[in-house]
Amino acid sequence: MTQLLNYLILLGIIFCTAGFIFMVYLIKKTSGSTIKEPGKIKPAESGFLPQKPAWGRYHVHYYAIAILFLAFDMEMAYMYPWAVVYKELGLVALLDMGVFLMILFLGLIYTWSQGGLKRQ
Amino acid sequence: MAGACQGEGNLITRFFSKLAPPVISVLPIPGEEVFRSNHVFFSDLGLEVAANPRAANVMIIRGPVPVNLNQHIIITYAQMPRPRVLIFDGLEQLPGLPHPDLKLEQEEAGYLGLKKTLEKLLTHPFAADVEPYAPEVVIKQLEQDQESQQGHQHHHHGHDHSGHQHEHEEHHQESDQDQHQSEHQHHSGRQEEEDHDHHDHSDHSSTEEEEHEHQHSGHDQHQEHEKHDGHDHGGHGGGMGFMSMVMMTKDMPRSMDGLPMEHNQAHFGPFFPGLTGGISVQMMLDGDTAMQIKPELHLMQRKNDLPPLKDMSELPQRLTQCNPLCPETWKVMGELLLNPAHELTFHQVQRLETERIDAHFNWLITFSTLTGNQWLRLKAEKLMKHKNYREQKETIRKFTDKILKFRHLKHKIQAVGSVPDHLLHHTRGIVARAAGQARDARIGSERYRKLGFEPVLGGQNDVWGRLKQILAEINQSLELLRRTYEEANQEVPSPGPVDKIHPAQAELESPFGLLIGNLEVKKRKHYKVSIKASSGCHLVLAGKAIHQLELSDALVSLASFHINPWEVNKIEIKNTGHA
Amino acid sequence: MHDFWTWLLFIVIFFSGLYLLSVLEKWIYQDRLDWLGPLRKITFYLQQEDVKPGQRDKIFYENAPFLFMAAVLMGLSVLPFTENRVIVDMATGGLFINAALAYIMVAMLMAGWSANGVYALVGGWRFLAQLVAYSMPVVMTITATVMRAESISMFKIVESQEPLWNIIYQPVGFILFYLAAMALAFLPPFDLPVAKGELASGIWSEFTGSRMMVFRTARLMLILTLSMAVTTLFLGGWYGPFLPGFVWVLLKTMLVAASFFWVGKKMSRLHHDRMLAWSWKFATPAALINIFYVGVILLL
Repeated sequence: MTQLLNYLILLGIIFCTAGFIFMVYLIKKTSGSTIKEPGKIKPAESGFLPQKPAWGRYHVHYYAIAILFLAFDMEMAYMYPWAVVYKELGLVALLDMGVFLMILFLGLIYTWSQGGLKRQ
Repeated sequence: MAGACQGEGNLITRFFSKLAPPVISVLPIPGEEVFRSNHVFFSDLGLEVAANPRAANVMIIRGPVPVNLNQHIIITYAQMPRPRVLIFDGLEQLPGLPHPDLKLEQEEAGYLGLKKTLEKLLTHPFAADVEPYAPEVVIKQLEQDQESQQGHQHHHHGHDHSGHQHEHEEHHQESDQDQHQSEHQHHSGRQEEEDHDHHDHSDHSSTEEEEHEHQHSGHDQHQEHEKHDGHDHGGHGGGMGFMSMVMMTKDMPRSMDGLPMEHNQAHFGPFFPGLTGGISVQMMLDGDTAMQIKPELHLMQRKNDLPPLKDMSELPQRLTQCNPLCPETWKVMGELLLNPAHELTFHQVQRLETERIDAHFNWLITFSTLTGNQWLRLKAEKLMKHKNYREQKETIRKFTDKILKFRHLKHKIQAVGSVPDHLLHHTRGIVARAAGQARDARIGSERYRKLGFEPVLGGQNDVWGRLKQILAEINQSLELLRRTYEEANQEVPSPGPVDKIHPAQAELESPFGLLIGNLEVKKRKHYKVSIKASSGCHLVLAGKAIHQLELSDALVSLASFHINPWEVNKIEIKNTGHA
Repeated sequence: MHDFWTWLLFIVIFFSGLYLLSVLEKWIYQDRLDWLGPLRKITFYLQQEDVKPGQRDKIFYENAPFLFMAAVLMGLSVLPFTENRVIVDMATGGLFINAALAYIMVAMLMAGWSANGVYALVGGWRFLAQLVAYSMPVVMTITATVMRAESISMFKIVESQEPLWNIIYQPVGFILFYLAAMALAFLPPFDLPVAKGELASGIWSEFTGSRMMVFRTARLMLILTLSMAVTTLFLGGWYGPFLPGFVWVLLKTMLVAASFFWVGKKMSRLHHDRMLAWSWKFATPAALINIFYVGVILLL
């Protein structure tokens, strides 16, 4: 089966999902409409009406780990093709990748020792 | 039905309703605990409890409801999507809400057929002409928000730089939109705040703000606000040139690690599923760290809705209405105030201890919702439903032992929520005894001494310690119950009807802390009863002790202070003077 | 391959799987066996009005449920349900499923941000933390299975398990993938973004009516996808005596899904920073060791 057909099917899946959701919305629309009431404008905050929008600079406490994740993600991108041909290549492949992994692993240990894996 | 959907419903909705009636999702007001302490368990009735108003289709309100809670109920009802059903239980009416679709009297039998009735109501909840529900409270607050958006320029002038906290209160009262930036005390910094605030609000009509910005000497806003679509900045560009990030964020609040971030304010309010219904705090959140919390202290005040007593012998019955979470304890308090010299009877001790176990299980169920432990919730509910605790002694002991073995839970809630040492002397009840302080009103009681009561003392001043304390006290109460049944032949006859009322004071150990009752004689035949509890003090302490904790840690600490929202304010009852 | 029977089988497995999952979830979490449960929920959501917060981000709000469902369906389509039937036969199936499921995080973050409420916002950012935690174990354990199969295609991975299932061959990998899959599907104890007790249902707090129905259905599909992925990667897919292949797939998927629900019942919710710390201190090194271990065994 050609690869083009695969991707076409995937595109078809996306369209079908959109179509299904559209159908559900259509069903809802024909069954009744949402009345405009003042209580529905603000998000629900357990008995209070929030006065300010919530958007703004959010303090994300795990940014150090996210950067480490980025590095490891790049590594994983290289590991996929390596994994496919691993068995043919044998011990050499293991040692090559072992060196690569070891370097990154040392990076992980360094971050751990510097307290980067905690809540900032 | 007042809360019906607008429209007619189509073939598909009708088909599905015939096939299977909809899930009934209940929002219990003022909190699920009140229903559980009256032995109404929604899971038994086949109803689900909703997490927030948007997921509910039924609102059940159980009276009596404090006056200040009224507007929150109105807001919550307005936020529920239609179809919505309103049920009053023991209430006549609430000003602001529409007529209830169902009225129940406060008895268990009324709840048995509830699911079928509701399913019938909700099978086809469509109506052609529906009136929108526009309560005054909501409209007024929305208008205030609109005004504060436009009028905030008047606010920022004349700030007092030194009164940071005071500023905070002012802003809070006037519902200012820039409230979360009230830490910014410098005028020059205002520019960036507004830009930060506004550039994401694309729905925002901000012509007034534009003029306001124009008035300030040139900060160049173009550089970082590319997303600021729809606003024409051509008029006043190119003032300062390059502005570094440090300068730009000069006046934003700093977090613990020194980064400039914006704070959000959120209410974890009266009807939050993880906290006891009625406790309301306002948290300032930095990301998901709660920097400080401000509890609302006057939400559950009962001032004018308790009519005066005609006859003082009604006092115990009246007191049960004051506190739905531990009514028997307050009833015993009333009986003690009327007969102060009398020793506690075995029957009274039994009632007290049974209620203690009830209240602790109730708290455990809410705590399990807060920490997300399904097994704990199911098991605690099963044990609480079975009213006869004596038969369950072994099961309960195994249950408490099992909880104590949860290493993950222990790891999660240890070292959180400690009361600072210099404030420990204000604590009572579970919080005090968990920290190792032997404060228990039962120590001084003759009857308890005869039963061989010794207060259980823990050693840890944190949430895990308090959890252990509660479990230990459940087992202790079971043991005391067993002894009262054994020694019931030594029962003292209960006191006769009251003839003369003397001024009296009584202390009782309620499940939530210390309860002090005072009966004063004002004039001849005019009496005043006032009851104070330690929950108010604990709520204030919680506000002080919870400081820069992660959100879930903050909520768990707040829950561990074992606050009964109905006891936070002092209760005063007078009589009409005719008996 | 794309004949009538493929589609019929797929539909049977898919819908019956979804229905059974919904009934299972309610049974295990609330001790109530309600066979009409999913239908009742559909009625509920069909009746409920669509309430949209006023100051929402319109694009994100409308697209979040759609993206969620589309991502899940794309992930599901590369998983084989019998020897020679699959919706999309990609040569890079293992890689694709990871890529598709990454969009779940995007959808959840969009949903959390768009509603413009504090509960939803906090829930959205917490789910991003969960992604940073679970992503590495997922990718590394899939790589270990790929090493054994010498190909990323899902068919080859299942075929390589004919002598011995991966659960016994790489037990550490199985445990890590299992837990990471629970975190991906935000099941308790990893249910931080939509927690009822802590955030009053967090990200889902502002979605009502039809959008919520799409979200909940898509979440069930996600659990189904992940269970089927665990079956394919570690439990030997369609291999088993007596019964035809697709029945085994369905059985194993249901078993894995039931265990997902059951395992999390006794644990309290995990903080996202604890989850991150444990993932990066223990799970990622364990996954690396797992790769090394599989590498050594393959050479022997």
